[in-house]
Amino acid sequence: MLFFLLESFIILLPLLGSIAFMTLAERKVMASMQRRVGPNVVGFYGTLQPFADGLKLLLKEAVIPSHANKVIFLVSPFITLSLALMGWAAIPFAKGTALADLSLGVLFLMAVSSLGVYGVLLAGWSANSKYAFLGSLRSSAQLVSYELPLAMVILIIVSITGSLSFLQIVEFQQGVWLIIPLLPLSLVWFIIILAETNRAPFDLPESESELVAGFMVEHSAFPFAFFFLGEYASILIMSVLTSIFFFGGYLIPFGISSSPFLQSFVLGLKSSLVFFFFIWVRATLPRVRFDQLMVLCWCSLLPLGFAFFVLIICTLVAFEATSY
Amino acid sequence: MASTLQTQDSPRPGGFPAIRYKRNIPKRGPSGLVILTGLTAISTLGFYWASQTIQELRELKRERIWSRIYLVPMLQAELDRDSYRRTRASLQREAEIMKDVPDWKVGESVYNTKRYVPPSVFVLPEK
Amino acid sequence: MASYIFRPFEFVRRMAVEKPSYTWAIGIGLIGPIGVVVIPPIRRKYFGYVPPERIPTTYPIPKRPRNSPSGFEDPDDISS
Repeated sequence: MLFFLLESFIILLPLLGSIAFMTLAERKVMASMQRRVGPNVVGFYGTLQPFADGLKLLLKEAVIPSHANKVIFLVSPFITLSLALMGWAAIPFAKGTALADLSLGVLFLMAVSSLGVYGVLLAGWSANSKYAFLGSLRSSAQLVSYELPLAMVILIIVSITGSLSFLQIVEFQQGVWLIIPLLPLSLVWFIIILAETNRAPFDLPESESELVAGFMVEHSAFPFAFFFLGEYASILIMSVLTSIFFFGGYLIPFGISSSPFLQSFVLGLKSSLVFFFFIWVRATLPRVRFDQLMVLCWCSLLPLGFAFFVLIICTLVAFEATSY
Repeated sequence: MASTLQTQDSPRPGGFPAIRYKRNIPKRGPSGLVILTGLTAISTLGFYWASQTIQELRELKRERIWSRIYLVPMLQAELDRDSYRRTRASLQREAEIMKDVPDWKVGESVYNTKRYVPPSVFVLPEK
Repeated sequence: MASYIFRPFEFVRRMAVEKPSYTWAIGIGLIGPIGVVVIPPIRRKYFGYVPPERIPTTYPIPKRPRNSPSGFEDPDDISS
């Protein structure tokens, strides 16, 4: 029991730290792209800025609206954050180094990330405010819609590798990283992960300054900080999933080394590059409209996902490249 | 009059350069057909490599199943030998314990049937 | 009016402009089933491809006359 707690904390503490520094990385990179300086006052070149922000949110008064359903209002941020952190149990950081090496890890992760919608829904409903409610409806419609093409892409990857275990999916890519055979599909995947994490250019339900953060309008101080952390945790988990599914996870290119420390470092490097892609897109593209968002999902990505699923399954059968 | 003629505008020495009337249209990149062919080529190559990995996995699975087919009879024989030894030891132990009780049949089934019932109690060696 | 029957190529060209994602999706999706029918005979005929042996699921049956044992059946009355 104590050992389990210790193991979880060994994963969770650096994870929360990296989430904190992701906000700083985003501000710094976006500042460089817009010819600004970014935060550079707190600490050495602004490195302590996320802790200052966190401390500010911690010290502020948490305003609870008098009409709100207080229990659900306060519980929903915890639901969001804990579900976003739960998915990390199945991620392999190096060969044989996962908190729980589940043989159905992909299913577990999909289940946990789908449950994340409930945090959004409960937060919007319990605040008893029209703006929060409409924001939560739009956010959850987006999340539920983009689950489908996401599941299609994951299904294709699972059918190629023939396994639902993250470890075996990564080990499959010793032959070739899956980005090379699935190059057209990876473009679909990059659009989907942007929408699934409510990021620009699909962040219209919770645009920062214009719609005052959508479903979390009424949340302030620490509950707001929890939503913020949960959002960045889901971005981080999507980056890691991208590097596991398409860039060979912890595998070092050309098999130069197989040291576990180096492998986990390489996984972090790949995930950071995917996160850089997230920031790059945010600094480049304007927002889309809500009907464009829905049409893109249901009329473009989903038919293409089905088409690629049929094509790839049939290719594997036609060339008898099945592992049974 | 002559002076005005001398200061009249004239082309600069060497004449004017040609007027740039070409439109500055941004480059549109490779055409759709090129992108389609390139994507297909890259993913075909990738699928060739991936199919090699899949074939390797299939042969590994074949090896695993054949090893199981060859190993299971030996493991089963070992298990049978061990369970027979344990049954004999259990009968001996029973006879040792119940030697003072008259009319005690050693090894009689406690169940009301003539069929063989596997023992539900196992004696493990004490440490 | 029913141009997909009389002039299918013009219909596909028009659909590729009007509804590109559906057209491409149906096109890509149709390649697969056609490939399943077409590719394996071609591979076996022209490329000399021999499909691998199936992975066994149980013990191999020996190639000799099999005599089924008798005299070990269960008794008819199951109660005793």
